[in-house]
Amino acid sequence: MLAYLVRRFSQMLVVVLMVSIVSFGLLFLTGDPAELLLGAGADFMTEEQIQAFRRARGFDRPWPVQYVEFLSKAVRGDFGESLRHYRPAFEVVWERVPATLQLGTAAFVLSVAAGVPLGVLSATRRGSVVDTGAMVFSLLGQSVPSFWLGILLIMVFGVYLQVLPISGRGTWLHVVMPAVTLAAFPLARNARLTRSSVLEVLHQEYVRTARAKGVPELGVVYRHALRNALIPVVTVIGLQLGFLLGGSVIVETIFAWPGVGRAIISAIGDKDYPVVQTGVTLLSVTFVGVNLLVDLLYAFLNPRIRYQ
Amino acid sequence: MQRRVVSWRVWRVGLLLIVAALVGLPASGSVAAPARDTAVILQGADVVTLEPYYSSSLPDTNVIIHVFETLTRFDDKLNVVPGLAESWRLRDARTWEFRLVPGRRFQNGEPLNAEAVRYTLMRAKDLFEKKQGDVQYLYNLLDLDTVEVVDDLTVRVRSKGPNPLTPLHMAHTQSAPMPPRHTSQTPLSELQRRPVGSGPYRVVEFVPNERVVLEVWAGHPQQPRIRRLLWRPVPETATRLAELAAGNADIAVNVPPDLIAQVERGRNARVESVAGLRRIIIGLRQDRHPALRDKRVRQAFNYAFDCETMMRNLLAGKGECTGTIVNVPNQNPNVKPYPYDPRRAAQLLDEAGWRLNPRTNVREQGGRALELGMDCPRGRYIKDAEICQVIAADLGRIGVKVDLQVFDWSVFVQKSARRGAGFRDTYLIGSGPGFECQADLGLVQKDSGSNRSLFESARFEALWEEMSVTFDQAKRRDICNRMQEVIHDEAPVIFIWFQTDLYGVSQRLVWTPRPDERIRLHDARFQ
Repeated sequence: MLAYLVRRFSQMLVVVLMVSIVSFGLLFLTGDPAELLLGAGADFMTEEQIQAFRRARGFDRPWPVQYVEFLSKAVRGDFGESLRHYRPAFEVVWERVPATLQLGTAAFVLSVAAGVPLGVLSATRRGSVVDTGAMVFSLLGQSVPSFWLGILLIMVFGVYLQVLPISGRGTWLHVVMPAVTLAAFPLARNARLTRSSVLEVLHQEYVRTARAKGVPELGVVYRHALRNALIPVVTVIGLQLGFLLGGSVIVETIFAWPGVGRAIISAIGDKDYPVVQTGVTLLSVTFVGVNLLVDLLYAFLNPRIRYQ
Repeated sequence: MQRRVVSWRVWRVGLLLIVAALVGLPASGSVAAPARDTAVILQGADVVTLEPYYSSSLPDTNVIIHVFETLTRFDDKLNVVPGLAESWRLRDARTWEFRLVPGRRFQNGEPLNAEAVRYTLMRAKDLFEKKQGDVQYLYNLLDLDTVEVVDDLTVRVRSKGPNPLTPLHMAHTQSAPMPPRHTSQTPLSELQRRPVGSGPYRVVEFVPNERVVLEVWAGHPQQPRIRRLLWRPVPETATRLAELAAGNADIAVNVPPDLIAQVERGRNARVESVAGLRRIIIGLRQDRHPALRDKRVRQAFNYAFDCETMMRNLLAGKGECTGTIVNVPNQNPNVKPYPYDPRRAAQLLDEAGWRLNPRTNVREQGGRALELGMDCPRGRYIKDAEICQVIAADLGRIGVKVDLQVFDWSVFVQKSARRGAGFRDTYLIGSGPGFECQADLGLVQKDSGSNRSLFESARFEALWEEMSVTFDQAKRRDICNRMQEVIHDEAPVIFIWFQTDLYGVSQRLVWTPRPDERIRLHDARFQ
């Protein structure tokens, strides 16, 4: 198990390192970093002044040297100062993490708490009206664009019925519509995947044996079948968690939710590259870290994995 | 046969619980509707900083103008009127003397005197010279040399060269006086979140990325009628309008023209419009295609498209076609928009030597085709991409082949840097106002960083030089009119219109918008 852990952690470091190269390269991919950072202010500067700015920021050094400096600072959480907020870029992004965690967690819980039982129900009532209805619901969930769903929920529950707040963050009621919008796709996918996985397991011989022993159907499904059926579902759920925690720009924009995704988009528009670099790095570390946890959980659920 | 895992009874009970929970939810009127003494303003972007010298963004400025005041200010008709200075006079070509209103204090009790003005302006000059903060725009125009304290209420502002516009520049928020002791002893992070100004409102709450709450400051001589202002960022237009429809907001910015009818169908809101100051133009670069150096070609482009029809269809009639780049109240009444006359356009192109090739349907001269690139942003100005499509098509009808490319604003703005170095032959831009004739005309002045067309005219530059040393307002007005006539004739740009600003406003709020995009609520009230 320890060897497996070390191997996975090493892989994670390689991925994060590669993301850091891309993140660092953002300043250079689009042209002269000095002119990008100066923006319209460069219109009022002479070439000598711009060159002095380049020297002051170290942009005249070879880019491998600049990258090493960037990396050595990044591991300490120092991504430089935000060009728009005039404070550490890390602070600008980090203060949005609680909002992203709140929304991501709510959507995740909803997608699992509703999606998995729906899939189980559908599998155990295969061919019935319930099964058909659940799968149509799942199809809609995976087909409807989140932008459209969000606006629809706003119109129905915020404008016409006026039972939920429309935008912003405050009480638990503010989380409801954004979480439902964000959870729609993963909920639908969890339901479909759970259904197919449970159906496959329910036809296994050991399940037939359990029934023959007189185990109640509830026990057959939840104690014997579900643990095996959940293995592929856990993998997908883990990937979803990383995605949900990474912030959804569309949902955050529609509901004016103050999350990390919206911060990155605003920073791109403001050419606030330190914040973009910070956000991209943080999201990638989150995603990779969550994947590592999921892999560990996977190994726990399936002992064959940890002994490979 | 499949066995039931959970009985229908359990599912029915669960369903009933969900319905009961939904029905039991409090009406959003109790969680989202604004308090009776609070006006809620929804802007399209976050308020990032309330330190006037570290921001030039409109969402920030809209809050800043309630917390800070300036020596002069623009009234609703954009005339320069007294603010913290009750009067001013010209001492010499480089020096203006301002007399402050007596007895004023900052919100922390420090006196608002000449020393506070001196401290603030010199601090800003220091930021400008060190390329820190966000003061490049104003202090490039102000060209500040020194600030001298004459007595407690009299201050002299000296520029490095003659500057007739200093009183106008003192209306900019980046000249707003700040309390010296507090500013010098407080970290920037605190100045940005809890600023201390002299305005009628003070900041009581600043939650980054969520809201800013202002409350009336009892120490100000003018007591606004609305006690609290709540500013929220809501980037999505549909969401802003939904909040307005639900009665949760009093002002929502940037209502699209095609949704005016929808907003006004609701009970809670109306749409207020005002002819704005943003000049929507298509710049014609002088350093690319040789055809654009010919005045006749540029004039032809202006005759070639039907502005009135375009405005009716794209802006629901909310706009004002124009033949000038100067804003109210300085427009030359004799300078009219170019009329739609494609025949005249074709005639001018023929005179300029660009003849139509009947095989390609594109004009040519000396074997070179009149093919132009046009760069356009999307989503930055109202119907920006659509405007470019219409004009490109109209130019095509007179034999000018246009290759149109539309860019996201974050990409487009990089092209516009360094005087439009990334632009091809033509580009659409919405230039903000200069608030004065000469400042507005800086768009086409040869040394101006805003002159992305790289246009240069000897006639115009001679008038510019004359105006730069003219302090008499009547004479400046005359020169301004003549400069507008020259620019109209030279047509360095395709004149389109001044963008109309549309606001959704709640029925309970008595407020009219200003042409300078500032949301000023000092005189607003509830019904």
